[in-house]
Amino acid sequence: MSTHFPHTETPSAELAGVSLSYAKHGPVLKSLDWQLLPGQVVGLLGRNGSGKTTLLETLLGLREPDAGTVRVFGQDAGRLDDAARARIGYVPQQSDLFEGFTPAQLLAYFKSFYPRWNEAKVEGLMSRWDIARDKPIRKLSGGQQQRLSIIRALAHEPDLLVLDEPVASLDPVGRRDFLRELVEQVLDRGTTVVFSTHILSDLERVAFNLAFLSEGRIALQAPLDELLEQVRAFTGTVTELASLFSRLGAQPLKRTPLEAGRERVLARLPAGVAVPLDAQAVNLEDLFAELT
Amino acid sequence: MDPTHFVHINTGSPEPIYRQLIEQVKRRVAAGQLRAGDEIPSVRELAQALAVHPMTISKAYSMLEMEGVLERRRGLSMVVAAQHQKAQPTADRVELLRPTLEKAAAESRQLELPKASALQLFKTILDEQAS
Amino acid sequence: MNTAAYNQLLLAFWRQRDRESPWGRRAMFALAVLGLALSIYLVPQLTAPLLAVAAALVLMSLWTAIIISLMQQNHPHVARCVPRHLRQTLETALVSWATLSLACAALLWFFLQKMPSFELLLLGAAALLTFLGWALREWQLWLVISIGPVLFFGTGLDRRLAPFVAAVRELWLAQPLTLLGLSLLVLGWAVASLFGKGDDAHRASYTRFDRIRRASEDSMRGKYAGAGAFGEAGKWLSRPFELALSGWQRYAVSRAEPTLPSVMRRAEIVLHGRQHWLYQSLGIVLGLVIAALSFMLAFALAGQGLQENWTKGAYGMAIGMASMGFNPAFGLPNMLWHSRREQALLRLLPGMPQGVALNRAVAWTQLRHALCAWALTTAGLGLLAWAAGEAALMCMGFGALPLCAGWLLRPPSRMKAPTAWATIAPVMAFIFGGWGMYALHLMLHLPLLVLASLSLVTSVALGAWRWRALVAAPAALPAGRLA
Repeated sequence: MSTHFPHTETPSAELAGVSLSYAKHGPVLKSLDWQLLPGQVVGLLGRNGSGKTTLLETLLGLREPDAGTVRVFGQDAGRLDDAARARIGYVPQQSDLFEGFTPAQLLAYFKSFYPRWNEAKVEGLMSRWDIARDKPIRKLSGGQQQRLSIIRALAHEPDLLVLDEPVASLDPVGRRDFLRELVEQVLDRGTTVVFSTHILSDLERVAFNLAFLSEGRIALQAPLDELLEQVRAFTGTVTELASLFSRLGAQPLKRTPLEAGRERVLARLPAGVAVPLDAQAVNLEDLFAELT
Repeated sequence: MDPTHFVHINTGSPEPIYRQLIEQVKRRVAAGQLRAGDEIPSVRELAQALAVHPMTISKAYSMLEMEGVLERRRGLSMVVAAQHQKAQPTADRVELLRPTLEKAAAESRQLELPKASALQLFKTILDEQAS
Repeated sequence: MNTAAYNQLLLAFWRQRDRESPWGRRAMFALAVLGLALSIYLVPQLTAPLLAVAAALVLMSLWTAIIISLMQQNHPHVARCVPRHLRQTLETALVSWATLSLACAALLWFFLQKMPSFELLLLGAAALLTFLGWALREWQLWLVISIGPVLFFGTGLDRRLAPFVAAVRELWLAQPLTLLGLSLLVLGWAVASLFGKGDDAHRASYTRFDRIRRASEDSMRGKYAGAGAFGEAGKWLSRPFELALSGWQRYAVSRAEPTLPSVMRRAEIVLHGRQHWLYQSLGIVLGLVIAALSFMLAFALAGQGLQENWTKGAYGMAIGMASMGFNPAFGLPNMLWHSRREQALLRLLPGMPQGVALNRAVAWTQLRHALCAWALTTAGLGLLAWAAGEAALMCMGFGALPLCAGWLLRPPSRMKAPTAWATIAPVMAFIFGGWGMYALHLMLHLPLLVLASLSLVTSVALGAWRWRALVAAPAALPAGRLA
């Protein structure tokens, strides 16, 4: 299936051995390695409090890791030059920023910094999503604020788009609209997109790859299609399953002990291997619950 | 062809989206809803309409092309392949039922039903639906 | 009787105190005790009354804390949905009101050698507490109280109402207890009507109250919400300020260039928010205009006596001018903390400096703001000193300069969330610095020039040391991430 991966040599972003801990909460990221290739659309999955926001902030150089390196477009993330920053778009989790500005003021403010700004697209989105241009941002509803935040991030046509729960306040139609915008970005420009969200149905549609953040590391990153086809849940005694796995060449991902020496194991079969019929198929929600 | 209603995607299912696409297109071709030469929405159109990653659509289309269901034309959108002039012969269409029947067979085994009872039930249902 | 609910209601204000910053409270307490001790030292014959007044003030602050907390707990949803909550809140409020009024009155009556009658003191205390309760929710009452008497006496209303006042006094002397009883009933009803039962009117008044309460809590943490917190009138008053800033923003954006000054000019609008130099200067101009107008009015009304002796008030005016000029600048670092989430987006803008250049740019923006404010205020103080012939007033300027160097040059990346202490500390330091200089001048007779050079040398040394530390620190923005 690797022909469906966009293949280039230099990653858009690369984290190597990144560790970060907070004084009060303890270690959050533990020697984390992660790579984003150009054109990938990666969904970042993790429980509440697992460090998704911290990871995304570290990726963009907004937090310094205690150890390890973070590189974006080949540069150190803490010291990106103007050209690199002009290619990055970020939608943070809180959308009520710049609450004293009006949308018109906010967009004019940001436009003054960026060399490239797609005014036509901004106008189109503002009118399609019906955002009042001259009302202070603090007076807009949560959904409007999020939409504005998205427009602001897309306006300068970034090559790397980082989204932290971008659609938490949007209704289903709003989310569908946003996903369509993302798809258009990917189509038109091959933008690399990383986004974290709890809305799994959105991830399934748009994310081609998933990264599971668990215990401070990226436990697994793989295309969603492969995971759905190759991962199965097996129930049986420990010995039965061990022999089954060695016969099939399966890789156990998560073990949950049950009573009386039995266990339930989520295992990934190699591509092309016939799936035993009594193995349970999993969906994205099961994967989330087990792997994060 | 309105791309929004071309296929129906179920999220939250163990079946990957590209698989769902392939199965639905095959079923419609087999049932004669899509005839040879009918235009298929382009990857871009369908991706935007369904809000799905274009790679997924393109993967499904490639596999359908490999299986001979769809045909690529240079510079134009894909079309249903020429050999599907009329509905497929029964033998091929029956094969499309295999996944569903395999699931039914697995359930019947779990319930420890004798083969005859399961087949009887299937026959009854088919009779009901026919009338 | 189940006292748990009443305990919760009454003690909420203590349990919900800001544990993060006990030093703000302790500093205020220490200052108060110090002030009291000083007054007793200076005027020993008034010890008893002073103590009584101090105790009464303490009781009144206790009442303020209790009534604010109770009003806060009287949320419309809770009043409607939690059984008996409204009734218990009312009972707690009325009992506290009665107890504290009685205690205040008793204290004052006992220590003031029984001079005014107990009934009068009780009425006065009860009325004051009621007024305080209402004024905490309807801020317009403060305006009425400050402007009211002037209008009342100035327009001769007191003369026209004199017969009425005489009649009331007669009634009081004849039937004190009846009148007291009636008045207390009315006042008690006023206290009770502070609380609502969850209907629309209650919702509206609760929103108003909550907005003011939040704004005052925020301002304790250095985040000034502007006059918008005061409802429609406040928003109307702050329109000119906001228009001015929008104009400035439009100008900065239209003249945008990739150079550092242009970038920092635009960034400053976001970094400093409501403490932007434009807001502060306009505020000071407004303050000066109001002061000048009041001054002229007082001059015109008071006649010769004031015109010759106005220099006696020069110290007060100097303190006022110095506070107006210096204190706003000390709130700038707090604004960096409050705009930290916007700073994440600013960091990603092309053109923003990185690393050491960023530290320098942010520090210089703040330092320049503070130094300009200092220069202008000291010039103003100099003018006042020259006009009043009292050169020692300049000491306040000398005291403030090292503070500018020290307070504003702290590395923002390691900032903690600003608390009441962080807001008060620079003000107190400035007061001590200014008064310390003045004391040195008075007691050691050090000439002003020596003091000025002392201040300058300290500031430059402090500034150089802090600057070096700041430049070596991690990137300034986003602020507070390494706390």
